[in-house]
Amino acid sequence: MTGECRMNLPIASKTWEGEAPAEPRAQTPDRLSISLSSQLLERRSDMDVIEPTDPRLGGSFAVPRRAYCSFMKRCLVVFTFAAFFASPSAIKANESFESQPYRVLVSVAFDNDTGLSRDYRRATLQDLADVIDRSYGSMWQADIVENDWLFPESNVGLQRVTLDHFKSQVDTAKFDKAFLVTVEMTGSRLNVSGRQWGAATRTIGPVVSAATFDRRDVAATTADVIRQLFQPVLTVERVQGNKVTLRMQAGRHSPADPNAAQVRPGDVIQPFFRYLDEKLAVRTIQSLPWTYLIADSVDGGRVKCSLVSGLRSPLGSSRRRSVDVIALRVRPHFDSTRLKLVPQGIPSKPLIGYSVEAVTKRNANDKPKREPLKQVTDRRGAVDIPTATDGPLRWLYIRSGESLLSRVPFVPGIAEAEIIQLPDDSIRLSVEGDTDLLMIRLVDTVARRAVLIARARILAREGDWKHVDEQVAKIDKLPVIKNFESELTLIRVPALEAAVRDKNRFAEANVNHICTRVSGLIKRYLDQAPVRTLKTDIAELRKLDAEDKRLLKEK
Amino acid sequence: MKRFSPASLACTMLALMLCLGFSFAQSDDDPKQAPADAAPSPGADDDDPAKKDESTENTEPTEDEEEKLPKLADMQLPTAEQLLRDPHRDWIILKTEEVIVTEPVYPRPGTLETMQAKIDAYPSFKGIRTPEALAKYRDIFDELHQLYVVLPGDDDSPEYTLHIKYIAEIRHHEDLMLRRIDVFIDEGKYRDAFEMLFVLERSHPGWPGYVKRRDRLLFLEAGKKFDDGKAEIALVTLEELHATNPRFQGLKNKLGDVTGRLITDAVADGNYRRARHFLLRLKSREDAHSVVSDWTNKLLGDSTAALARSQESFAAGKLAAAVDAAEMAARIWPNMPDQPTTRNLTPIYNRVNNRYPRLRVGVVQQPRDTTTEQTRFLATAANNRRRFLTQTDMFEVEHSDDSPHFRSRFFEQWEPTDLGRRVRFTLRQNRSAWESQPVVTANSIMSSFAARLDPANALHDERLAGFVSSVAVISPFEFELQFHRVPPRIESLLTFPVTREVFRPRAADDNRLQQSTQLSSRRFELATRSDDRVVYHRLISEPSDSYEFHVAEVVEQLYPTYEKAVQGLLRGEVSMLPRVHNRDVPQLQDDERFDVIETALPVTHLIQFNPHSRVTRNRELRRALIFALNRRKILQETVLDDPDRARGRLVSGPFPTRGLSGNNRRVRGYAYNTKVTPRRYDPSLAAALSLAAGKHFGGKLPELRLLCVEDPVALQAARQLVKHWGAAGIRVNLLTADDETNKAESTDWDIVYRIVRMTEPAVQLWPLLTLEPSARVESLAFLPDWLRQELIELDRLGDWKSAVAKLNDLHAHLAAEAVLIPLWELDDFVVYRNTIRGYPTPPLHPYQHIERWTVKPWLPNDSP
Repeated sequence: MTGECRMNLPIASKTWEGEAPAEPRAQTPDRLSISLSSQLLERRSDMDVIEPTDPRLGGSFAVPRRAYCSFMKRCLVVFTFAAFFASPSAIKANESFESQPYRVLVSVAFDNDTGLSRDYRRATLQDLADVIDRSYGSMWQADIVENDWLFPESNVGLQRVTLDHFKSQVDTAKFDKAFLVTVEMTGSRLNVSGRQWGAATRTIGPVVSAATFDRRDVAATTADVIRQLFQPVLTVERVQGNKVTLRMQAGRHSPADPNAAQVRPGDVIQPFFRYLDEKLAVRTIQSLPWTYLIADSVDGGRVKCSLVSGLRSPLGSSRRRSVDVIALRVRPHFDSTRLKLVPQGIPSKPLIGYSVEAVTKRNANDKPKREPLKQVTDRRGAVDIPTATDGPLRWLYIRSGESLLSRVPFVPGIAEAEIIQLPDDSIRLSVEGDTDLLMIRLVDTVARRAVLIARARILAREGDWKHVDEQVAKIDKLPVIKNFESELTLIRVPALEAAVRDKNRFAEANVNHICTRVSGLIKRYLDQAPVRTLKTDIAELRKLDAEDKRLLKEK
Repeated sequence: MKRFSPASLACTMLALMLCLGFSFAQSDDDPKQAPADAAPSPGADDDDPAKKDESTENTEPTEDEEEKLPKLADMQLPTAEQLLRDPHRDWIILKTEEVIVTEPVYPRPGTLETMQAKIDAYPSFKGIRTPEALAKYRDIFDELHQLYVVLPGDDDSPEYTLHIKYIAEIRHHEDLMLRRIDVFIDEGKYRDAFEMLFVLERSHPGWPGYVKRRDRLLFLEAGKKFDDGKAEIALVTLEELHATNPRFQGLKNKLGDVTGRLITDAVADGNYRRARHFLLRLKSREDAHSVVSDWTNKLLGDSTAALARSQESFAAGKLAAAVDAAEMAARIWPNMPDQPTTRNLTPIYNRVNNRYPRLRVGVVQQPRDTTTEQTRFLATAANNRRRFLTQTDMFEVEHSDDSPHFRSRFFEQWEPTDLGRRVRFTLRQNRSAWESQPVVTANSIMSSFAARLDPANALHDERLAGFVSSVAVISPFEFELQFHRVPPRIESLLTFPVTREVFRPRAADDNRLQQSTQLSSRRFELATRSDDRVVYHRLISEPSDSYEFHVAEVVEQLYPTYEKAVQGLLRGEVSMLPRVHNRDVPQLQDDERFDVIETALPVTHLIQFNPHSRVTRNRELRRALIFALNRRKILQETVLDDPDRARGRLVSGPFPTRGLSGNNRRVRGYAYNTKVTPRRYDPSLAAALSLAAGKHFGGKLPELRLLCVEDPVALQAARQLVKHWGAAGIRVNLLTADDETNKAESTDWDIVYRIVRMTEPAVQLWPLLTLEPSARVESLAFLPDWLRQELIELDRLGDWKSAVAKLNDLHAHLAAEAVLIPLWELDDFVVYRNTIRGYPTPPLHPYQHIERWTVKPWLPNDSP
């Protein structure tokens, strides 16, 4: 089937996100009457041809009138009923997702510059239609219209467009994709800006701009902008470990222009969950954070991908009926993404001074392709992660000092800003501080003990037993293992209680790790063995000295 | 008592000489030393009248044994060494020109004269002339003619006697010394002559001939010194001579010559005080000397001429030149008691100085020219003074008690709205006559903020950028700040000057423009700089019709030491000392001419570790460095060096322990945690810790490099620190600071000795620890996580009470972690001459409110 390009005036449609359940693309057949199905049938003079006007219902087929029999008629009626009364999913299963072209609206707003005359606009829109047709062919069914509601007709006006405003102006039910484009003249330069709206995610994307100095090039520039904005829609067919097979809408339709291919190997695809209600209408859409699908191969309408995620089993292996997983191919539009770090549950508190290391590699266990980019979060708890030129994916290692708080994959440039929530590190920091101070006292005690032991030995060799006893007394007064262990317990217990109370397993594990390490050091360095040895040696030396003195006296 | 004839004495002498191998020096007339021929020639003269005398009973020599006495002509004058070290010997010169060398004879001096006087005084015989009485009378009379001599080396024999009729002259040991002195004088060996003269004076003060020799020697030596170019020493010598013998021939002329030269040289050097000093010295001794009158007239004439120039400059509006000339006139010839005066000196001097008050400040350091933001961590007191004079911040700390109090010269009011998230500032649109900074507009302020908020700008202030989200200009004199989050104190955020970006050519031959930052808010500007002084002028002069004029110029006069600076103050060369050594404080406090004011906050001396140094990351080493220092000893003996020892104390943190509030009340430092006690001196623990640290470096600690701020007291203390560390086995090398080394990010040093004064610990602690001018998050990387987060938390706290509590905690943690070594805290004093008015008490900075100071003209009246 060839797609048709028509130039129509847009008509208002209902708004349908948030308040009301979404209307399915295909009408539920139980709402259609028999008479409707009859109207869909056309009688030919020599043949009874069943040729639905609605191409979504499948191809036409002809039946010779003479061969027409009541049985067949009844079968046909039954079939027609069955076709209409079948479930949406079955209809979906029947209709090939990969064959479904995109219903696209391109709405172009020209600014009021006198250089952009009516004729010029008309011609530009025609050129654009031609370019789109040449590029996308049957992949798209595009409506290219001139926009009359966007104000101002510029990049600024485009930036200001809200989703609600857009939906109030465009009948979103009729389209899978809508591209709002502005063409404005600044001196001799023509700036083309665009934004995409997508039915799959019901969001309006960022603005992408380009410029040209050739008036004749505006259509091609606009087409480039649209190509950059266009996010193909895919669905998850199968998940096997970290290998995922996707089905791509209109995948069976090869674009006339190879540059307009929807997905190429290496492309990044971002999955979303669509939660359906009991009537299988989309209730909410949720993106999967830190999860990406990297296209490995494209075969017709199927794309085989590798899953890269910071979550464990983000897609799962089984599919629930009420959850729909779709995916969009994404490309970076920005030079960098501002990544803000906040603690879980406290979004207003930025995490300042945390280390963020961006490593360019595909999988977590791969070797880095080049030197990692190391940054420290600023006073707003954010860092700018620049878009990678040698592969879109980076792995972010977020540390507080030496402690690794998070390791996630990330594609910078898709969004202007992102927020990452991290486990609360304050308990660990507090424990680390207290144990550091404890360690300082431990080192002092160990050093003092070593000095006193050395002194006692020297004095013992000299036979100065009075001062030897003084040194030993000082050694005995030094804190021992149990003193330090008590202090350590006073640090550990409240911290663990706080961690358990906050259900912070990360903190719990860290506290135990730190305290166990410190406890080991206490036991190792404050072992009383050197003191016992000293006392034994002193006792022996004292005995020998006394013996010597006695012998000397006898002589 | 034996009586001997000269002949028998001569034989005995000969035998003695042969035994002792005694040799004499040359004779009087010949300066060259030649060994004396000790043995008299055989065949002595039998006609010697000495031989005709009675001979002794037993020791009468035979004719064969008789030897001759040495002749006077053959006798050599003993050397200085012989005279000083050998036993004293007198020469008895006989009438036959022979010489008998004996032990010292008595009485002395004037032995023969004294004996003759006794003889002359012997009364005539009185009484019955019996043979016995007559014999006795004759014996006594005869006895009076006998000189008792003891020959050298003759231990057993008794004294000998010699009738004085045979003696021509007795040259005592002292006379021989005088003769040797004469020889030295003739040879020009004045030092040797003085030595002998000194010995003579000590052993026999008043010996005849001593004074004459002394005077001659003094005169000649003064002449020699004068010829050698040591005129001042020559003068002292001449004055010494003048004190005892003012009539000495040639003395008056010589005094005039020497003094004249000294005065000429002093005048050529421009040191009129010195010139007057010598002039008055000469005058006190020779009032009518022509040199005195000539130079007095000349100096008076020069002073009058300078005064005339001052008046001309003043009339022409060249105020600085007028003051220079008036000061020159006063310097050449000030008013001195009992001396002629320069006409109209006082009124003219007062007039020009009232119009253009000049403040002379005595300093021991000059600011470095190449100070940049990177080297600011080693800013000296001189750099801080320069900064304060040449830069006005939007908000400045006025005084500090339980919290710092700010004041602004630029803003009329500032009002927070929206719960503190917005603040609208209204700028002052006019300035008082005495104020020296220009009126600034909102655009200038905007430019300053733009530079500090721009991450690409060298002035970027991360802390400010973390608070401020936008700056909006409302009107030429109003602007509004909007904050991401509300700062605890708005004023502490804006303690930076107003700047603007200008574009200038990169070099004289390079027209490409480069952007640079220029200060818009200044009080004074650097006018001139030389090796011994730095001059700052008020940026905006006061109107000429002002009722009262305030400091227009500041001249920082450089002295080599604190002592010299105090001397300059006492002499009237300067009127202010921004800092004095602690030991000089009591003396100056007792002097009514000066006000000695303690500053509001003390200064803290501390040791910090280079964050980029690999070696000092080792905590055991840092703690070893702390325990190895006997800080109390160094503080008391080296730093304070004064018996009170009350103006300094050991500390455990970088914060001030105390201060003076705005009404001079003693307050406790709010950031200082008194529970944290200073570490005690524990050399054995230091040694143990350094051994433990050494294990991390392959068994031996590397030598550490200590950088020290250029302050005389700090340098002295640093040398002591190095010694103490050396005793603990830690080798430290004291570096000579230069600009390449003085960078916070340099790795050419490991530890640094700094002097800091924290006016606002909550804001200043972070830059202090990182050694950077502003607080950057990245620069905290060297600290442990928990400590880093505590500092960040302090920065983010919104209320004052929490900030103080956090500071106290940080104090304890910094001390435990040994991030720095606080040494001691010293009270800081500024000395103002009582002619200066307008400074605050207590001042936070020596030049605080300097634009409002008045300096009453003051002429030193005391003689030099």
